[in-house]
Amino acid sequence: MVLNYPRDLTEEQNLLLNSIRGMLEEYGENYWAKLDESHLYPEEFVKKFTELGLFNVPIPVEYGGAGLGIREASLILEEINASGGNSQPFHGQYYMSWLLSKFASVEMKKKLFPALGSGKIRMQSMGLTEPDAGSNTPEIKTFAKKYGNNYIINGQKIFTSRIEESDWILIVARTKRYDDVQKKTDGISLFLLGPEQKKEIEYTRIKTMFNSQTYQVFINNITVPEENLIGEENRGFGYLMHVLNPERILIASESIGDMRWFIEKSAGYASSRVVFDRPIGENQGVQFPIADIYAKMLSVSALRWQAASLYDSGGDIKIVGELANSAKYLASEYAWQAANVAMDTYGGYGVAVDTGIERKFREARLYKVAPITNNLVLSYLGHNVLNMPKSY
Amino acid sequence: MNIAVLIKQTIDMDQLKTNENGEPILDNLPLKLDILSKNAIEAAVQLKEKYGGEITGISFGTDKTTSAIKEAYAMGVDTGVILKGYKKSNPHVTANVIYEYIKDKNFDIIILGNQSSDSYSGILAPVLSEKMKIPLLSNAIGIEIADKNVKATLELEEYNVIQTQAMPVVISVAQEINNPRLPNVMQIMKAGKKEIKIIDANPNYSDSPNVISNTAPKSERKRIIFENTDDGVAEISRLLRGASR
Ligand SMILES: Cc1cc2nc3c(=O)[nH]c(=O)nc-3n(C[C@H](O)[C@H](O)[C@H](O)COP(=O)(O)OP(=O)(O)OC[C@H]3O[C@@H](n4cnc5c(N)ncnc54)[C@H](O)[C@@H]3O)c2cc1C
Repeated sequence: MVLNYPRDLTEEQNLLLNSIRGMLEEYGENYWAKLDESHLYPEEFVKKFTELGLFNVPIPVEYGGAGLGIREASLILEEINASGGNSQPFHGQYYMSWLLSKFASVEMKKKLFPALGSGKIRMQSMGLTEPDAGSNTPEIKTFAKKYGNNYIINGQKIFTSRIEESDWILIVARTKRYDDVQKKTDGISLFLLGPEQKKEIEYTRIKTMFNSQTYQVFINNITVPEENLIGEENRGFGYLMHVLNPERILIASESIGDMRWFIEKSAGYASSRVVFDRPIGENQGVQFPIADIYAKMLSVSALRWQAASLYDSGGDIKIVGELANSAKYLASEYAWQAANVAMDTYGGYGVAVDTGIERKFREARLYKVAPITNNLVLSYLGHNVLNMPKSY
Repeated sequence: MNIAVLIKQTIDMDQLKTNENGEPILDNLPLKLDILSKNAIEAAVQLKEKYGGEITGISFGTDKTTSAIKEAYAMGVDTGVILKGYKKSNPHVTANVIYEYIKDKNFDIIILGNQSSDSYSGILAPVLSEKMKIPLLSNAIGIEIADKNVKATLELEEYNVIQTQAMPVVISVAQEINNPRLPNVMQIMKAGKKEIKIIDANPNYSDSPNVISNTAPKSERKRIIFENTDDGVAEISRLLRGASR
């Protein structure tokens, strides 16, 4: 059983949860533990996920999708993590779909959406981060130069997740140099690269501390037709807000799922492990940290829901950004706290691989640094929301 | 073929807790589509897929039962009806309410779960068959149709029985009959938009049995501790051997 908590869902959202829970029953913790050992992509899970129509969630109705929002997507991903799974390997397709539905051309949508929904193609990869720019994204150097009807792209990316596992990828490049623009977020453009272009890209996998498919990418003279530019040239940074904000809300949801898993495991273990002739959970030193995390889970879940609802109803993207960043920040910090509480509750058994705690512990750590580091969230809130001096 | 499937909405038994006296705490429990109702729906949908026909899903429920009907829609039921007024489990009242609704509807097959996951009485199917004066095929784990006949495999304690019966029939299904499908996102979306018929059933609960006590059975564990491992292993293997006989 997965820890439940009070929340106000529609009948359709509950049906969606029922279906995903039914599917999760087939993929227990052993499934994820095995993948963790071999560092393989969850192919079978993603196939089943596709069959259940779950990639149709963000696709607009007119392109054959369900036309649902981030609220539904976040319910799904939260539930996967709450069951002991990991949504990181496929969450990318959700935020990419919102980008496409908002800014891609009708032709591109007609071409990609039905194939994405049916699982014929995957699009789960976005190359933004670069080795020399790091958190300072406007300083990226990958450059797309226009020749006739094509762009030629050159550059280097790092930590581009799932490029191998995707047919289509999104590359963020400059079309005006950093030094040539007044406003540093100007001059950035977004390009969709299909199987043709992907063949030409070189990439090598980066070994990581948990099962994630992330790569170092080398883009040398790749020709991309102009139809593959999303929206208008140089305005890509604004569009990116429709990737990055949904991504933050979804990642907050995954962290909330992780918290639920840690809480359920810890509460169960604390009630059953007997030391000094009584369950360890009778000790407030063990019990209170778990209850504390539960209260935090409820609070950040509400904040996440507020962010998701505002995005779904087309609210001001700046306010969405404030809420989404705060939700991602708190959820990742709390999830990491929850991971440590579980470690402490389990004592020595927490580090034993068979209990699964150390796997989730490793997985939960990521979201404190990716897709944006928590320092950068705070500097965003400090400067952009609270008008304090810029720290970067 | 005109198929009726009876759908029950129950509390989510996984979430059920008991108070200090062992009585169930029934407040604010989430509701769920009953487990065997899902098997009944799946059986009906498989019959429709194989032989054609229309499925009417019928639930004696409340205003909240719409979610169970939507789930049934997402699985493939065509028309959903809620007979409103359910208060508590009393199979005779349920049978009366359902009988009043279906008696003149000419269903060829009426499918339901053999028992429901909350009360487990197993009474509804036989009472309904008696009221309708049509045969009951009970505890079915397989259903086939040939001409106007239903051929059902019924699971008994020691062996299975294959029985053929002319329609109309009432069929109660066992969980082994199938694996209910998980509704796909697109089916859920479609289901959400479909109309649900809600009819006041005005049930008569006046001569319901008076429940004196409803508590969870207590099972005390023996908690035998062996200080010496060899003794413990010997005792465990003795018990296991005994159990396998
Ligand atoms: C598993 C994994 C998957 C990833 N997947 C993707 C992907 O699919 N696509 C993609 O584009 N990127 C991806 N990333 C990259 C990720 O977004 C970056 O690692 C992250 O944004 C931080 O950049 P960096 O690693 O260069 O850190 P740096 O920018 O070098 O920062 C290092 C540290 O310095 C701090 N710091 C830097 N500047 C400041 C400042 N001004 N004030 C305060 N503190 C500061 C940071 O907070 C951080 O703690 C992934 C990363 C990982 C680990």
